[in-house]
Amino acid sequence: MKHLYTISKCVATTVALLFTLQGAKAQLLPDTYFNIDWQLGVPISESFADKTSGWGMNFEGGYFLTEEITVGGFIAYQTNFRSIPRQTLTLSNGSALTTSQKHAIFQLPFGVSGRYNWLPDSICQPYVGLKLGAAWAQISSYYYLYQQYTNTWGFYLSPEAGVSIFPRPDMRFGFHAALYFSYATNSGKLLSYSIDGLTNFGFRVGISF
Amino acid sequence: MNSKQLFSSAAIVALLLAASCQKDPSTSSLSKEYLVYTACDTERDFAGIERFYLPDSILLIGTHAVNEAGDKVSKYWSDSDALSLVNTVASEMADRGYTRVKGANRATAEVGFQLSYVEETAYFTGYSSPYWWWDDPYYWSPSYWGYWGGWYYPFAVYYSYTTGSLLVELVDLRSEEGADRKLSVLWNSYISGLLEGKKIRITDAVDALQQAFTQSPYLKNSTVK
Repeated sequence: MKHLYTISKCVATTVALLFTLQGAKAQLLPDTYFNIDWQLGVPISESFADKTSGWGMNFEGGYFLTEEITVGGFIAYQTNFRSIPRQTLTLSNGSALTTSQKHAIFQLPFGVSGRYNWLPDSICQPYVGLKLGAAWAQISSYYYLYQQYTNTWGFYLSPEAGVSIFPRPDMRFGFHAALYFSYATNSGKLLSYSIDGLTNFGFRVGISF
Repeated sequence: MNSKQLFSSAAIVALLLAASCQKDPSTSSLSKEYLVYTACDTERDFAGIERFYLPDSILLIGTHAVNEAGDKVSKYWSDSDALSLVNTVASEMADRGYTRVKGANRATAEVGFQLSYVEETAYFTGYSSPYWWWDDPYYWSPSYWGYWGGWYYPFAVYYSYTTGSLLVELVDLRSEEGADRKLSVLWNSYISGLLEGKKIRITDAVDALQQAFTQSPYLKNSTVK
């Protein structure tokens, strides 16, 4: 829970700073939006590191082409884990390894995003969006004193539905919540494991301004 | 600061935040559990092996003894704990149909075991990759077995050895002898994670040694039905 506390502290500090910066200004920049979110991710495609994890964040910003349509960019990260009790892995060339492990997959997708927004002048402003880009992922196995890992790149696609909540729409400073699904084409081999594609779903909550 | 600069700054800050947020799992429990790695020469024939020689003591790596003449010499571990490890290897080999030869019959063995325990790793901080024992004057010498000019590892050695590691090497005494010939290692096992404080957990070491043989199914005397 230590990292959740750290994230909460970071978000709270950011919120406080933004409130200070915000003052009476309606938007930080005209016709733009920014989101800073805590992210909870659930892996669904592979068993290498399949535990739900709240060690993730999402940063996104965009420009209002019209009142309904925005385009922008994003970067996010997510780490998921799995503990493996002692087992014997058959490796290449007659070698074998018996050990307990902890698996981790760290994903770092980034790219462009687009949204269609409804009810632009209301307190609750729902939207649907799509993120496209690249994903860097480090696939790791920790055992004894060692970390063995492989770095992978893939194409990233993530549809999303969410809502921005502005208690005072004229101030455009409030909260953000979203559900997302993501697929990345990253694949790699590590020890006797093979990973082919990373699929996740999850939710994000944070601030919007 | 104009809009472009603000966007750029925000993007850089986001990248830095994201890059610094990779979370490592807690690994403190992993270092308390033993690890067993085995590897073998897949090009060599295990089928013709029937007899093995196994010394009664374990070489201690990273330390040395001093003989009566004042010379530094290799140091061996030979108390009841060491003997239980040696006997485990002997028992596992016997279970797989191999015959242990002793004393003067050593010359009839096709393979020989070298058991080593890493008591200190400080000596090896500057070892020559990957054959770290080349730099250690107190390591097993090929001349212990016969007339060879050095060692040969036909397969990759992946691991950096830590204090408290137990190493088992099976050398192929059928290798051609000569000053310019090398004694080939046929199979090795690297076992680590055995320390409790500064003391080895013998029960775990015995379990780990048994596991080393379990995960090496090619170690079986094919002439025994």
